[in-house]
Amino acid sequence: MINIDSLKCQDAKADFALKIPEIKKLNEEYKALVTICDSVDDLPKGSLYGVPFTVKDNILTKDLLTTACSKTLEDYCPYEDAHVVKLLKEQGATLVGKAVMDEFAFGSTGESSCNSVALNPLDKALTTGGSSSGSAVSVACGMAAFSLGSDTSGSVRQPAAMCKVVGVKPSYETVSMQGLFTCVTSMDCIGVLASNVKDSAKILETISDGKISGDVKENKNITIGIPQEYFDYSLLDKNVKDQVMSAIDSLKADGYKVVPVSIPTFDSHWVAYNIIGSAEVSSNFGKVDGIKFGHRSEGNSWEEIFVNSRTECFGEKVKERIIKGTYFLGEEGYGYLQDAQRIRTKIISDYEKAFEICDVLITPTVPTLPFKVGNARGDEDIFTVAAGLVGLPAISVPYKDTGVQVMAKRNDEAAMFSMANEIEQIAKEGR
Amino acid sequence: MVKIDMDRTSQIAFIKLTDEQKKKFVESILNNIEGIKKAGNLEGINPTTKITKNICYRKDEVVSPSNREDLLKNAKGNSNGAFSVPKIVE
Amino acid sequence: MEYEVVMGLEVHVELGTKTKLFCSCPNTFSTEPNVFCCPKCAGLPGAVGALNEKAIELASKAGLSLDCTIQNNSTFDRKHYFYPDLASAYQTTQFYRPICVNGHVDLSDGSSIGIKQIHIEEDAGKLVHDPYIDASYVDYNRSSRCLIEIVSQPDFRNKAQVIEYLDTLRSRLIYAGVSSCKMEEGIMRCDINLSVREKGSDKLGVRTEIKNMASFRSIERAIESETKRHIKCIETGEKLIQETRGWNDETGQTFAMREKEYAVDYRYFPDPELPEIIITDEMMEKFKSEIPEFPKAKMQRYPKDYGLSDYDTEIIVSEKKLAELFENTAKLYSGYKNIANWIIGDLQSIIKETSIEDIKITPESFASLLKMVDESVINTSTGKSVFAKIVLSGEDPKSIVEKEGLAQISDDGAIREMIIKAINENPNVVADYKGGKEKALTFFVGQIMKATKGKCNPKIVNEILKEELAKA
Repeated sequence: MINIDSLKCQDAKADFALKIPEIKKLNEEYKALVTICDSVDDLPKGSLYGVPFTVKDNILTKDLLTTACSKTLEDYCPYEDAHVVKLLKEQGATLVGKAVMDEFAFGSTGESSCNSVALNPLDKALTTGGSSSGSAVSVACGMAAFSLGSDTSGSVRQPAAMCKVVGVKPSYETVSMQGLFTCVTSMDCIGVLASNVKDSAKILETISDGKISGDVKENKNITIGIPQEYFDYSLLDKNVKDQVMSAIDSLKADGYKVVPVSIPTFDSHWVAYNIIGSAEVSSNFGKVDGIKFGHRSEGNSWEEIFVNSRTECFGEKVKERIIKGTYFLGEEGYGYLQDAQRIRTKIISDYEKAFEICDVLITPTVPTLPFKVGNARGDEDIFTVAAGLVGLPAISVPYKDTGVQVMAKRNDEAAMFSMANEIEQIAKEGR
Repeated sequence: MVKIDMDRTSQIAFIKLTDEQKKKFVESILNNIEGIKKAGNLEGINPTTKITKNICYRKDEVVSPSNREDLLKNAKGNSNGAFSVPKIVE
Repeated sequence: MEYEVVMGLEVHVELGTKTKLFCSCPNTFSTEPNVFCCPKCAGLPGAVGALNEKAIELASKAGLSLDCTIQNNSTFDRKHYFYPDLASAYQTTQFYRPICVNGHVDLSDGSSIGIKQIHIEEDAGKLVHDPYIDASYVDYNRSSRCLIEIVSQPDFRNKAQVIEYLDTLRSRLIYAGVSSCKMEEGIMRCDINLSVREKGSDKLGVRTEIKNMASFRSIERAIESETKRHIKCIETGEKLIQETRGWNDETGQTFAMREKEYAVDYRYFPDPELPEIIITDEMMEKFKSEIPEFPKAKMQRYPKDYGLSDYDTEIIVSEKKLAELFENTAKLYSGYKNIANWIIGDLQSIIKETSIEDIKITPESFASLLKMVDESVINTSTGKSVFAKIVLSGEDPKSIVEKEGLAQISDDGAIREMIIKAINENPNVVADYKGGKEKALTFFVGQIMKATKGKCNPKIVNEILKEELAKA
């Protein structure tokens, strides 16, 4: 894996030209990228000069295919970069290519891609996680120093845990979403995957226009909260539980105060997200009609073209979200949507109460160890969804065979990074 | 027992479904409805419809619009500077 | 059987902002399609919207102009349906909490029309149908322009009320700077909800909606025609369907609009990313202070404050620019009737060829000019020609008079010399005058006017002329 500090680049263009064969070879093996750039522009000698990065394929890149791994956008070529991509190019970072994903980010395994399915560099038989599967793999196999992904209910953190890289989701609305093909507007964030915590902080600082500080400082005064309901989850793998608990024990030994907290709404997180998420998706995806962009199916009237394009191009998972969302926004289902929104109010309140007695929450990122491809249980995002619903910053740090998640108060990335760095140190020391 | 009209829902969504999909999606919705019922008493709680804290408004100043060629670049069947559809009789 | 027509109006007005509602594209008309668009208003992926602060201001001012309560906070909702001119497949509007509620407009017949609400929403794009081939074209220039919809209560009972209401709305919104309200450009359009019932009944009949009316004349005709159609159905027992109808100006009839073959459900829900519209007390005070006095109030005030007739007042207050010019000039010059006369007579005829927007004359220049005429620095006819210049150029009259040497000759001596010369050169005319022909006087005045190039004081000329003629 690539560490940003260890990169010394004199000539990004020449460097990249040399690296392309290696990248292509890695991609043939791990299938992480939909598109590989064949060259780089002249780049300013900024703070990230020559640092290679990949971008999840639902984020717009100028003159480079952006397909969201859907038949809908199979030949979509944007005419401008997403804001976050512009910011990285302004610092001289080198765009390597577009990363494979679950279609339109609906999925947690990378398996519902219209293009290739990425393979886990740790073990090709095991899942990469998703939906930012290609992003995680491209960092894990050394193609890129970091990758931009999108995180709604865990799509950056969870594949990070599966591929043993760092994955961070910032606080809601700290990073501009201009240029992201948004799904759940009230939850979506652009996040970062990298090989270490400090790198992820540095990149987050750049793409947040400086709103988030890239300085990672030690802070022994941070109180750690352990939400009981996460650890009592009936389907939590014993190995995962034990490993995360051992990380917490090491932190205790290092002098951190640890307190139990309660999140009574834990069991309702998933249903609230499911309903709210599908409602917003159905609203946001109405603009996909074959007329303005993307694949256009045949039809004798505008209605036929709309219906045929949407029917032929959306994969089943996407269709399911849209149909469910249409129901929950409709006359019959709207009451349930409002109930889901009420649950969200309670969820936000639960976390606010928890943060009155602690500064960060530590939980496992995923309830299972990486499972075999095709064997997803469906609860991969159960621990990561809260941060999306509440707008909290959250990070997954590789630890032993799993990932440890750290969540902090909204806009308190400092506490989150500080604790994540500690966990990374502990992992390095083999504790 | 909640009755879900999947034909009507898919019509409103402008998507055609197979019978299998209709069945699958109905089950998924019913599952969600069950989940809501399990969530307990929600009376008196205001729904959270968004979590934005931003109350900034934009100044009424013109920024150059997009180039028309760029806007139409990815539209199939565009002509005369516009997106096109088969003729609509209103 | 006596019938009563019951009507409600939904008036759409395009706000006079520079940019659209959620993006900074210009709010400008063009014959070229899709030249004032961006990914946001054209429904392309990855676009983020930002609310135009001017739209909040103008919508609030519209509410204040119509005696509405302005809500301290209001929200945006999405209204979903599919149609090619709706770029994002939803219209952002205000369904649950509109910005203004509970207003009213009082009419001259003593009735009061209630205004249920005013809400902000975005406009849709335009469809143009190719006359030759099987194609329709979508133009998003108009997409996402700022609109307000003014929804009345069903308080109208005749077409005269409808016209007076619309006229009052237009006048107040133009005065308040909310919109140009140009109906001929589609900036103000209205939908009429109409039903008919037996006079005296309190039950409402079947309602039809006539959409997109854009001229007062068409509105009057449509109301007449549709009312007749309703009555005919009631009397013949023909079924009257609750539906949306269009208006055909040529046939003078409404027609049923094509029904959709598929189910529609607007699925209103609060927009998940747009912020609430918060109107603070401070903002409210500022908006209130910027609402001008409306024509109706001026009609009461002008006769009292300026001694003007109702007739003169009505002409001046019909246009905000004229009223402003009058009032500001009246602060500097107290010949109010004089100011009114010059506006109603000379100014109106000058701008007949152009438009009221082209008026550049300042109150200072106007007052200065009138004073110069009063003080005989220039005579009235010179005054009028200078006025004609400064109305459209905004120049200072004093500098024109100086530059072109237009000042009146009032020097008795010089004039007396010219008169004596003229008398000596025209003994026949003198004889005519002495013979009783008053017209001869006019001849001499004309001669002096010619000699001085119109720059003499006619009063002084007349006096001295009579003196000298008496001597001759």
